[in-house]
Amino acid sequence: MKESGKTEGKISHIISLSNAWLALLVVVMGVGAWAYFGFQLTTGLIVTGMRNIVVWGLYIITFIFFIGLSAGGLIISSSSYVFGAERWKSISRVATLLAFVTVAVAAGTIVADLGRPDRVLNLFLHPQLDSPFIWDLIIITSYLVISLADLWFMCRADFARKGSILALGTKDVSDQAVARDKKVVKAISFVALPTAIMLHSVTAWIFGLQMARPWWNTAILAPVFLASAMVSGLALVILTALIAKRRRILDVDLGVLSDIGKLLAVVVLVDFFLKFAEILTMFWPSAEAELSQLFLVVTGPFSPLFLIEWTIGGIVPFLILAYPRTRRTALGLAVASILLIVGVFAYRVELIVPGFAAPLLSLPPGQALGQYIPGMSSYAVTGNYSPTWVEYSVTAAMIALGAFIVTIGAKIIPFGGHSTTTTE
Amino acid sequence: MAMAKRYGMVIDLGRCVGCQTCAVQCKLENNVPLGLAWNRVLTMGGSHLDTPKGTYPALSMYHVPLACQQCENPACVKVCPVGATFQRPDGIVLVDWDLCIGCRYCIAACPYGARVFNWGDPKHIPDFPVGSPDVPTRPRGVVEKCTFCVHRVDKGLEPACVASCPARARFFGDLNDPESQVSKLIMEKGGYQLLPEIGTDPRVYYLPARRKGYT
Repeated sequence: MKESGKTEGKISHIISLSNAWLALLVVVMGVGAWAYFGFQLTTGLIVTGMRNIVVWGLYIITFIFFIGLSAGGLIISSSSYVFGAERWKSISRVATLLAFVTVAVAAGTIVADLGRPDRVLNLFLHPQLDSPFIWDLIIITSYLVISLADLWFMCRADFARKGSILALGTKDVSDQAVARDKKVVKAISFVALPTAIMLHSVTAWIFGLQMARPWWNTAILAPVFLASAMVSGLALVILTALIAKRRRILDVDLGVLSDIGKLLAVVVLVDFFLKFAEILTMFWPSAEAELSQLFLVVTGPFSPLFLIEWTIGGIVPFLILAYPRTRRTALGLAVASILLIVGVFAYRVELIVPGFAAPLLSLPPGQALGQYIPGMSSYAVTGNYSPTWVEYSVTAAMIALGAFIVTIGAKIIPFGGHSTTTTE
Repeated sequence: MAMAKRYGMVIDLGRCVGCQTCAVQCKLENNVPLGLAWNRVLTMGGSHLDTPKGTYPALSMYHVPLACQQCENPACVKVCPVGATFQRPDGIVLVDWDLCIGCRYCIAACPYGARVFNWGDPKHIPDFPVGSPDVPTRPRGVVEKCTFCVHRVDKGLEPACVASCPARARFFGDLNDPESQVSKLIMEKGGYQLLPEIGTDPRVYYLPARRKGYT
């Protein structure tokens, strides 16, 4: 009783610290919940911008985007153990927390996308193991468990020292116990790294295995997902670490972040090399079907996204990170990280919507869209999609929930900052 | 022992006149909601319905009725995470409306655009079911598609589109029986499948529209 009272007191103190930010997040979550429960759940997915040609939209885009954002987390914390990158340990807790939260948000957007969320348990009661969706469900669940366990063992001794309920009753803070925790964290790292790689690959295979969608159906999709996930994931870790550093809850050397920035520059190169290889393979044979699909993205209606991805989301941040003088400043790192995250988001949109927009059989009058509006044709040959306010609200609420957990987590979890004495 | 039945359909594009009767009959029979269609009659020609391509007098046009291709190797069945889309022993691919979670992965996987989703509450004009009483009512939020009129086939009847075709362009039968009308038509008239390169191996075959200047 005494312990939980103490924690409650602490939480209310925390909320008073950054209440404006948290209040904003709560409002966004409230609007999203109203949009979801008041509209989408009661009238169906008809309130979204999705129809029968483009059947996946902002929810699935957000899903793969957030799966990608998680990449920085376990890769950084695992690398520090698996490859002995000792300096990175100072941000491994932030990184792991982000990994957990982003994957949890991704899982949430999947549920938001379902036409029958009331039957979500069917995924566990009647799993059909040929489906990449089920593979992803298994890997997402494993990833959530692993990252949570990883985080807990990293922080257990600190929780126990403070007598926090988050120590789950453990009180042992002897050197022996701390050494045992470290051993466990190291062991988890060896599992976590391959799990993280599988998470991105399996998410890519949801799309990449579909013969019906030439835009997705390429073996290079899994490597591209891994690379682009690392781009956005590392960028998110750098960005969050910079914010935490500025708010004095994380004691991290700018040199460490700048080193990660250097790695990020290399990953950006790999990512764009893989994407270029795919584009060239589609372009060079000059086959009409492939060309029309490619031009839909490169020069057609989706070209603004393509431009954003390659210029301000690609070349510009790469140059910022490649020049030591800009890479070694907090501002340079922050700008590059934001631009890369924007670029990866553009890539996610560019993957999903054009994949649907031009079906293989597009003969007039086309497909029945799924809504009858008097005086208008229910049919269309090619697909259109723009999200509705419901989709924007629900997605914003999901992201706000993630930000909320990270903000609270940053106060509860000792990151190894100025206020704690935990780092080795 | 006779081989198990494997139902298939043949559509003679040389006989199809593009009258849309099969599309309308399908919609009625299966009580397909407003804004949705299981069966569509597409135009192979110009960029609009019932328009030819080319310039006079070198014009060409024919129609391609398109519904679920009832694939031997169905992409939709493989991707369904809950087994709501399944294949019966006679090959017919169906959707269980009590199991479907509405993820629409099967729509993403189908190369033929044969599947449609109930984005909102299914609506009808007039506002009550008009089709076969054997077709269950679908709820909101599930995927639906052509069933080969399984409720009719199980009674020994032909699918509604076959029975209603005024041009007699549609044929239905057992592909496992080499003596069946469908097997013979495919053999003798060069029946082909749509998008064979995808590897789904449809059990709906088309006979070329030779008499309209197309091969």
